[in-house]
Amino acid sequence: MYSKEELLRGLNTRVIGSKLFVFESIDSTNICAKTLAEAGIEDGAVVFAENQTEGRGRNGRSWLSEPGNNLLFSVVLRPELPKEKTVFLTFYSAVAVAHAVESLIGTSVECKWPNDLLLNSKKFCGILLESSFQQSSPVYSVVGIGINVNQRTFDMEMGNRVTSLSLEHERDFDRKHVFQRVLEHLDRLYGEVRAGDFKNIMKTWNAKCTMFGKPVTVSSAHDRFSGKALGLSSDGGLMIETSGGTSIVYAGDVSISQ
Amino acid sequence: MDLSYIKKIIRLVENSDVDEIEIEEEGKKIRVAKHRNSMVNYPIPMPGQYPLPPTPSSGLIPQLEAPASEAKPKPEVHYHEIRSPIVGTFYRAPAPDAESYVEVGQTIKSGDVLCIVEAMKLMNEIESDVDGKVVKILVENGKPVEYNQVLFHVEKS
Repeated sequence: MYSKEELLRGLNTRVIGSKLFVFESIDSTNICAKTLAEAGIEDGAVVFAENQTEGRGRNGRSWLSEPGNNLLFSVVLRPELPKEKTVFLTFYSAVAVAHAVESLIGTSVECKWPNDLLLNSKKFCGILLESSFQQSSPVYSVVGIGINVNQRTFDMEMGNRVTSLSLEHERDFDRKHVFQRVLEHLDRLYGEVRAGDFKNIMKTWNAKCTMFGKPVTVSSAHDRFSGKALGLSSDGGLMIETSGGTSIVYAGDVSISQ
Repeated sequence: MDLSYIKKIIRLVENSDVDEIEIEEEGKKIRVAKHRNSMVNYPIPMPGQYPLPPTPSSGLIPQLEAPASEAKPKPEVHYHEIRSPIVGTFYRAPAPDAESYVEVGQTIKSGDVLCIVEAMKLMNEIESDVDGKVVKILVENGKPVEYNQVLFHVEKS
């Protein structure tokens, strides 16, 4: 298990990682980060854990990760954005992780709407953001990041849909190195985020998205439909061309149809 | 809207799991609500009047409202509105199998989470900005909501 000092040694950031909390095992780094945020913890604080007992994904799904082999951490952000721009934090975090991983592996990472990251069309990173809103504006946001680094085996059920850095590159990675790179790329883009300027981030995300022009299926709690992914709307929704016209999706599972 | 129709609606609500139903037809509106407890909000007292005691018995109170144009000016209760700050999907609970954050009739405090609105995998916990009681939940779980759409009516305490 990494110590706090080890994880911070050599880290070169201004805001992200300003405070670091390290746990061997915790319910969920997002839950912990939210609790700290409620208590007033500063912008950029990070919660790191080797194991999560209640790791979560979208829609109450669990996020499973082999203890000690991957990266699980959450970052508290307080960028003071207008409320309509908060959703762009989802693309910011995806682009930062993509840059960090690309700098280590030398090949391109693919983005899947809204913020999954793939290698060879298989997911290796999941991101879940949680914000607390009062009526006027968001108070804080928590970005939970799970990266499959050195895990080599996965449940049969997920078999061909998930992967890890080590599976794709047939070598183990220094997890501390990956962690620090992600924090550094989050930090590097954070100036633009705080200025409310997402132009570059969205340009990068769009260039990395491999869904556009492809047939996709959207599933949500009450709905399931298919169409062609056209691109992003100005507010970050996924525009889908269907037989009945163009729909914009803001939440749901989107998969590329086989 | 005749009396037999209203009676039918009352029976319908009485024999169902629905707590409240509101029907608007040709400018006439009827709302039928089950008593949840003895603290009844209806009818709305006039200023300076004491609230009427709750009607005993049936547990159902039909309410007929005349079309707005014909209505005499009457004081309205202005509930505090909790609106969606973003476009997204409305969830009443943190997960599909979890309990709802709030129910109608529940007392809430400023800062309590009332729901989640999800957009782009950002789960936005919407907090109340007032103390009070949830009077109405205007959106069904899992449905899309627009920017600034009213989600809850809260009676301020």
